[in-house]
Amino acid sequence: MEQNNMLAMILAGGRGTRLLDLTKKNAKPAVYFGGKYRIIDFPLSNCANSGIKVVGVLTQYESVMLNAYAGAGQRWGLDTRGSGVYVLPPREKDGTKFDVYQGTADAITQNIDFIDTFDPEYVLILSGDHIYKMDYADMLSLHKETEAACTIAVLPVPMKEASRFGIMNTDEEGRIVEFEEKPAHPKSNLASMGIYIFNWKDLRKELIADMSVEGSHHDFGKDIIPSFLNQGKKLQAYKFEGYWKDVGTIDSLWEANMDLLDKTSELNLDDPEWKIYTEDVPALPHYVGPEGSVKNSYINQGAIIRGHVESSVLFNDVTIDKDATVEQAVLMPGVTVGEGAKVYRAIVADGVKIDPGAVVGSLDSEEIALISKRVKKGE
Amino acid sequence: MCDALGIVTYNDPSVYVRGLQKYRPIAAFSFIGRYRLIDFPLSNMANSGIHDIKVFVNGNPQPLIEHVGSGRHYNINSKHGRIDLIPLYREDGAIQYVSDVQSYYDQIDSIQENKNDYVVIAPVNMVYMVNYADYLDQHIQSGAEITMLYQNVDDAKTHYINCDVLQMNRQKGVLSIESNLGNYKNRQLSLQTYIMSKEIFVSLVEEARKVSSMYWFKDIVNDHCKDMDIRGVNFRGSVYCINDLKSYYDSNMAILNEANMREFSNPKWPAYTRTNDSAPAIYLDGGSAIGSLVSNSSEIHGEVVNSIIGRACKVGKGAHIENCLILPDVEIGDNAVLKNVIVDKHTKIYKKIDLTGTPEDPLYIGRRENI
Repeated sequence: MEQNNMLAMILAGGRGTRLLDLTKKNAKPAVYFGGKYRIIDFPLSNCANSGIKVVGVLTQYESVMLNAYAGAGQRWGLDTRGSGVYVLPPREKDGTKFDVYQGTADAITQNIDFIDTFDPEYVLILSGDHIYKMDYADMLSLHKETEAACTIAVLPVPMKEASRFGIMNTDEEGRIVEFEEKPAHPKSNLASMGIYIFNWKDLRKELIADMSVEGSHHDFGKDIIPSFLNQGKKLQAYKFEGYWKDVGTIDSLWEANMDLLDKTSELNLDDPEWKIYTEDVPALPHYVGPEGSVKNSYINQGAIIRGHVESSVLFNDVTIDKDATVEQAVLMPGVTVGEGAKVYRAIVADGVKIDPGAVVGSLDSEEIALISKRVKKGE
Repeated sequence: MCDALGIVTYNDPSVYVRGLQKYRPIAAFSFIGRYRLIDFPLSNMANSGIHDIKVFVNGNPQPLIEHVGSGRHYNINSKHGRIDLIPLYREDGAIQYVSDVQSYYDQIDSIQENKNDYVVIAPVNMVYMVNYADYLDQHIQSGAEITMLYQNVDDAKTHYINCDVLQMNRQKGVLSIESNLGNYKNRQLSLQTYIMSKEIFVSLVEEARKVSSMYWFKDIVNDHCKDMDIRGVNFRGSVYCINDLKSYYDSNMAILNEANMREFSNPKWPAYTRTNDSAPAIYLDGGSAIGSLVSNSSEIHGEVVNSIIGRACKVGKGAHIENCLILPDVEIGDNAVLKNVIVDKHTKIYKKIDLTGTPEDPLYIGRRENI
């Protein structure tokens, strides 16, 4: 693959508090998605498929597992000469005070020395908590073509939802003229996806300047982008069309999983031209017992189904015992559902045991239940 | 670590699987949806701590080269271990009848230079899960010169025809290795799995080569039953012997029994294979499965009953698949009905077709066909 002289930095330090117990001992990018993946597989696979060779992963919150996971670059094919995945938790450096990352921009600032060693022309900033497939090389072409200082990927969202996002107002050529964070009266429906391409020279200068700005949050959205605008630098919008989802809440995580069951959804994880790579776990094909049944579901290898499954996503090593029913649920790796138990409209965290006869969630419920510890009968 | 060199070897011409073997060597046969037969001896060896393995291949090596690759996915230590694929090569191109002994002899220098003191030889057409390290310990303690694994079978009149069977004395000393002609119900089926010191192995290979170019390794072992201490050890786990199309079908279908399946899904003794990075399987449009194994990347729109579906297969709307073994990358059209059929890789079966075999004589559909 052609080297495109762009280095990627994935911001993977967030806790993702709204994912509740799923992120109690695990950073959000390490949360499971889609039967066999973790959220961070998406930006990493996108990088690998876009021909990016060097990826830095900035970790902070509960990062032990995430560091080990992301560090194994061969999973995404990022293991050829001159390429690699570099896990970058905060570190002590000569001559500076050791501190955690204060904001998204500070995380990059603290790794200027790392980026400089590769001397890239462009730096791609990504967040590690979205589900989407995107060719960053295409975005880079636009960035080069328009000679922008920064290109920001934007997603058209329904106008009535626009006030929930950071909104980019552009001119006819797609040049960004204004940025409004969660505007009450949005002027456009182009939401920032938190994906930026910068000329490294420009960004480097800005980051150093930002270090001494009083009251700065050291954040891309709050500080760096507004400052670029104020200086009259050229900011270009790159319009993305396709599936994109922030899986920051239990509901949205459940919905994104359910989108896999919808043939009309644009989220196809089985495109041979754009595979999503992940850890390989030894497992047999999934097994449906002689008394089991499966309908309208997404099932990974290693699952054993003796009961009934409908409209659900099952990860590897899930076992569903006979006469159990699982409907509209996401069962993460190693979940066991005991004989006769019922699981409805729920996300069940990895390794959780649902005892025989227990009932979890309800088909009439608006809310999605998060089950993160053992459920006994009658609870 | 286990002080043994692993040798995975090919079968003599008495084993021939109609249809499938036209396209690939037995080692590359698909097994239970996502594996190839080579995965089982390699996983057993890797799990046993045998990290130095030579795989002898007759037939087209291409699918195996692609599948085994660097061997990394078998959990072989990439610095202290290696898997060597050794395809048979003869300048005159005639490889069908080159014995295993001839192949071993081609590698004799490298085998002698190998740091391990023992060899463990395993075939590709016998599928079982075993800890070779235990049997090597037992071999060393017993003082035997050669240990051979066998299993008592009670259906040898109709099964395992032409496979090796052992005659043994009461002390399990091997008296001879014979071919099963189907005359007796009860026999001791050889698992074609041998354990011995490297020194004995090398001397037997050299001797066999001098006797006749037609000699197979089992022939020279058989010759020495009278003057060497060769012992049979009964292997009690499940064994699936693939020696013809029917046994290939039966061996696969036997794994649909959950107890049998569980032997292959033991987290402490995993069966490794190459990943294709494919997405989970998906059931749509009321597609369903019952009593089946369904591999990733498959799309099920129809009904799958008591069948094995390989990786990346598509079963159309209203289609009904029963007692079938569907190899990877097969497409089955809407409303097709298949019963007791083996469909080889990359085949397309169009709409509304009715294909029926019997459990005794499953129908075989070739590779890359359009039906």
